[in-house]
Amino acid sequence: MKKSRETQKRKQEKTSLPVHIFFLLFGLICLIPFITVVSASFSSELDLARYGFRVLPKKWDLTAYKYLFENPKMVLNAYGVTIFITVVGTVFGVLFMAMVAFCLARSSMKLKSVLTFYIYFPTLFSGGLTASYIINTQYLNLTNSLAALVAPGLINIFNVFMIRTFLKQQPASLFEAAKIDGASEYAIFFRIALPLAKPVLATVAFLTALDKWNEWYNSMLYIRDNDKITLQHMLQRMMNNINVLMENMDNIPMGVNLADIPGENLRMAMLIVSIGPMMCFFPFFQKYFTKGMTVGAIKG
Amino acid sequence: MKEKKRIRKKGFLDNVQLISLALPAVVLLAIFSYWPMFGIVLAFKDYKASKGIWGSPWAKLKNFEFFFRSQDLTRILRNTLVLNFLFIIVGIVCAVLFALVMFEVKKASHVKAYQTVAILPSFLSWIAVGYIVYALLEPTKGILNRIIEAFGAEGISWYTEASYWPVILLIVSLWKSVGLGSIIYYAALMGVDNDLSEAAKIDGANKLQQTWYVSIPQIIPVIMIRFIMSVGGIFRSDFGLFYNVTRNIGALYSTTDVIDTYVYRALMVQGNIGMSSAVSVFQSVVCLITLLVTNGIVRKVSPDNSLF
Repeated sequence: MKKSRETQKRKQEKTSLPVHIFFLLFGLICLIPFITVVSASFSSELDLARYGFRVLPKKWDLTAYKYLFENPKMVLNAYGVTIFITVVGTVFGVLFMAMVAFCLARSSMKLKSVLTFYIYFPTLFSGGLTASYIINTQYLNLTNSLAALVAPGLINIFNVFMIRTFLKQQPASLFEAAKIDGASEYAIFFRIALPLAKPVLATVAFLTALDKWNEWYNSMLYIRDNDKITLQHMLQRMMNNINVLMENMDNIPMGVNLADIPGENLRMAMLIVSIGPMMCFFPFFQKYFTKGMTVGAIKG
Repeated sequence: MKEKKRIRKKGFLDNVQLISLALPAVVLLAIFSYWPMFGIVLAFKDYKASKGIWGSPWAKLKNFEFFFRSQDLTRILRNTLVLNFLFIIVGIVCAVLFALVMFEVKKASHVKAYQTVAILPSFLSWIAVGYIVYALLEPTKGILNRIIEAFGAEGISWYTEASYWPVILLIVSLWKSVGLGSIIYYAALMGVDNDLSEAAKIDGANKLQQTWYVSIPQIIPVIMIRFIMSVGGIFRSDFGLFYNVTRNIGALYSTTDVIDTYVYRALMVQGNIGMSSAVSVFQSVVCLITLLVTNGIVRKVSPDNSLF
């Protein structure tokens, strides 16, 4: 009762003006860079050379996008790869992580402390980039394989412990009751634990999907084939060399000034095409993101 | 007796089922985490692809010698430690300040709107951030130089001037992470007992005094834990930041090259497997030591927050 009165009181207080101004300014700092790259993608290369990057384009121009949509093969390939690894990585990642987390949360599990240490130790010590690279390329033949983009980071240890902590907080009697009724551990996991853990699984699924959508590191290490690179990796290569995209573009769109060969604007258009959908989509899942920051006590 | 046996058998079967549930994760970690741990012998080998890791001849400490004798060691160690320490300190201070200001926003819908905008940059990959920084810093078209030139001064060739980059990297890393980083402190502030602030207010404390004497002391434990844990990982850098935002430009290595980028280049550009694995191992070992030490400190200070 007392608590609710207090929260009400807190609600009635007004936010002071300087606080609003602070956040409006900060909001601008966050948004202006976005608006700048959007406007650069809608400018002609000549305008960019003359006036530089601007918050609003001098004149709206669609040349860069015309080039992109006339030659969609590379972009579509990268989209396909990215969507594929996001879906596969999220589905299997969440399933495997939930499975091992359930195992760690069950009190009847015999080897629990050994398993906990086994799962946790890789956060303390790693073989490093070179050893992983040699093993993945020489022994596992992951070069140019999409498995290289999904499998190595599939088990995120932080997420495993987040799910385990959540499951541990649930009343153990739920599991025990099913046990007495003769349910197998599989049944308990799929029928009771998974539905129970929905909130934390949503958070983990979101974090995993974001991670896979932004995947470029393994792509950069293991993928040589242009048809199999992820969106972010393609962006990275374009930053170093704009020709990566241009040399794959045979179709010059109609009604385009041939002197106006796209450069920076094409780069920025490519950036918008690859991050745009995500930027519209992910903010709706913000609460899972913030939840992930505040949960997640890892303790053995 | 029979009953007992049956129960024990059931318990054994349950454990088999549980272990089979853990199996995919166990196997994946075995392949991608534990196997490479044994791969650290590479650092002591003269690696030949045709002979494999174990078959290659031993090189004793030759790989380490080369690295420890070169001038690169001091450079990448200095950059790694100084930059990461800077990121940790300034990052925590800014995130706490941000959370404190956020705490002053009273309406829940406003909090949500501001948070959404503030964490937008953390959805981006470092590649996309690299593009945005490029739009600001590109020497002839970049917004920053256009502004400088509008004031009549001469533009700066940002991508060749190494001396500016510690600050640039700091700002970029703050921009990307401060909104998200503040959430943990904001949650801690929400947990602070309201009565204390009320009492302070009645005693005539102004807003700043309330913050300094009531709010901040309450969240000090969270701040300390974050600080110590971050310091534990100080030898590992965010590769994406140092590689993509600097566009891997050689002129900037003197202030931006860290252990992780150095290892990457030694491996992928120079193909020097011996040296890159030596540096990798060096990093893994110091990392393990700092983590154990910092965790030991946390366990002393507040046992509930230690990792193990």
